[in-house]
Amino acid sequence: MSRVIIDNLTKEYNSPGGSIVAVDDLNLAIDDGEFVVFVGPSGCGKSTTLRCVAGLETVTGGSIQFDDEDVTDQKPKERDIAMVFQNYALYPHMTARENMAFGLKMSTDLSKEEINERVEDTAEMMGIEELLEDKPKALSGGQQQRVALGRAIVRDPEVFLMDEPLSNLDAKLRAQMRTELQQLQNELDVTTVYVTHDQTEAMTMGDRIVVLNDGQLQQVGTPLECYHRPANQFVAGFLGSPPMNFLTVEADLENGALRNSMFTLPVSDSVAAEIDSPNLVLGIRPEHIELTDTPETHGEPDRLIETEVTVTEPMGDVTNVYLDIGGESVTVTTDGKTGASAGDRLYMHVPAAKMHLFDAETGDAIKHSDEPIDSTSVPETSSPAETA
Amino acid sequence: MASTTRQFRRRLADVQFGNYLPFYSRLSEEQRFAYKLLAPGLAMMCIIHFLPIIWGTLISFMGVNSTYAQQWHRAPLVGLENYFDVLDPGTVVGSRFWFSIRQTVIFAVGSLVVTYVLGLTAALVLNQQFKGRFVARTLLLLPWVAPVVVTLLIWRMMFQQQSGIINNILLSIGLINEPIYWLIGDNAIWTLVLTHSWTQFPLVMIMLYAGLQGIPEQLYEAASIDGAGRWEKFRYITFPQLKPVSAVVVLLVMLWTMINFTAPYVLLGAQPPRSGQVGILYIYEFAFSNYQFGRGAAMSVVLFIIAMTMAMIYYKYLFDDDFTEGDE
Repeated sequence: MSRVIIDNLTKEYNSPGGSIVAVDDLNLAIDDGEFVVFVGPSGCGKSTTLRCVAGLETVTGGSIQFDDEDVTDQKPKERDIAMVFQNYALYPHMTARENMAFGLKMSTDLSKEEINERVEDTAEMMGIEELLEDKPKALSGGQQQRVALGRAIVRDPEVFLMDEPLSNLDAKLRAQMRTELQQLQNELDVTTVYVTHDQTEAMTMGDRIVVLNDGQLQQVGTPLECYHRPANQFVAGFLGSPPMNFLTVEADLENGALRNSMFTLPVSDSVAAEIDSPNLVLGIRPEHIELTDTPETHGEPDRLIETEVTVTEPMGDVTNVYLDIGGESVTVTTDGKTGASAGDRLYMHVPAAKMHLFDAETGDAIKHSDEPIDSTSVPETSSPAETA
Repeated sequence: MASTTRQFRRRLADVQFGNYLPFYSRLSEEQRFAYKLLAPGLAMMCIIHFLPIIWGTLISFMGVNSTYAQQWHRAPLVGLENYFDVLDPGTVVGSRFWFSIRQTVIFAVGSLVVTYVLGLTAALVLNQQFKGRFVARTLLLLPWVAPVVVTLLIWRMMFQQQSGIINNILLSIGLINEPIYWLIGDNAIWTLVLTHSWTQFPLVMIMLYAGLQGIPEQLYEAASIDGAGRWEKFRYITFPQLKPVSAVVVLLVMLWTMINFTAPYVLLGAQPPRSGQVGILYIYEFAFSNYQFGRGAAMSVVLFIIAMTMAMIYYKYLFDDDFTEGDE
């Protein structure tokens, strides 16, 4: 186990059109035994960062330390790490047993018997004893995944690095492996860096998540922190499914309101005091919007916006209702029993407490929702990302 | 272009093989098309390969010699007599034939080792990222692209005992005191191995290079993390991953060398020194200089059977289900 410190890490690639910055001045400290998930869209630099930590890429600037040892210029084999690759990278000409034993054979002085014993113990833990004599070709995707994990675990490394290890599995197996991986990591208590583009994996698995975009760190925090207190509009939009709704508004501070051509929403004085830019983006999560067809009986009629339903998506437990507000689309997650259907004119209620505000130019957050973030439970989100 | 292809397909579809081949009518449209495309190649193979093989086999059972050189079909059938003669180590022709088979094996195995080592080394070098590797690749292909007779003649000149540049260089840098006889005496077979390997290694190189390119980079990354160094990566990843290509290379180089006529003939001539008398040269000399076509044919058949048996044993034991495992 190790504490991993990434200090001003920069990675540039040379290309014919000039250099491409894949990771831009990244700073991060990962605690001993912590499970950290790097998440972001394709090309955000998350895999590159991981590969720098692994030693598979040389860094352009900055340093990487394991505990107090600077490993920036060390070769992968000197770093005592184990890695799980997206397509497993099992050695096709070796059996599962040989695949798992290879690292021990290369990097330790253990005798054949000792190696065998460790391989068998790990295989038992992973439930793959029966597969040890099979070659990767003979294994299913899920089984290959287990062998690849076993190969990493048997090494008993200081740090686990996982590069989208579940992306090649089908949705059901992915959900199952997600839980198993968490349990494993809990048991082994090894510092783990996990890369994914899937926000569901990030939300459910990590002790902390690291959101990256364009090679730059957007936010580091617990899943709920990032979900309910996003540092900026990017994080807010990236986490959550369906994603947060954004509506462009203008601040009318004299009247204490946010205006859009279609609606006016009052803001409290405390919020108004935070606003220093006239152009804002209002953010509201789909599950925080309430729909009503009887505005006259609503407790906060001044916070209602008239809309038209364009599409409804029944998911079973919940229904996603898509609304149109002057050309801008808003998604609302409602009870599965909702009677809304396309063409209905409904009023949506935007609770002041759940509303987010972002600076339209910088994207920085001005106001967050008041959802509690110290709970260990994860917000209920329907997750079409699972099948993506 | 597309319409030409369509026309071609339509014309081809009109060809009615069904009249001649009863099984043909049971084939699907696609299979028929495949057979039609194969037909010209198969016809050429028949004329160039299969017919001579049958003809040669036929002659090996007949007493074709100078008397019947003009009218081979009038020669008497002698059964297995030719075979008994050439396979009997007690006779002059038999003992020389067995010796030539031995030299053939040395020629084949020696060339295989040299071409494989040279080819693999070159392929590994080309597979590195360095400036000018495309130029290097082209240069390395030259020995194979150049007309083989020209290459061989140049080597023959370089290997001359008195005037050859190789002895000259070796003498001038003090590695040898006396000029070496490369092309006569016992050295001839090794000179032959080296020269033949020179003309063949670029092909091996290109095949292995293609094999190297097919090895996923991630395997090396996984091995790096597992703690493997350069040599271990070669030993445990590269070499096993090249097994399917290597298997083909070994088979081809062995067979091609065993039946290679050009290299021994151009380098050593029709009357080679004893050590350079590989099977194919001996058969040629025996059959065409002595007009012993029957026995010559028998020897050819023996050589053919030896080569085929080796290929089949090899195929059976090395091309088993492991053969495709490097593909993924």
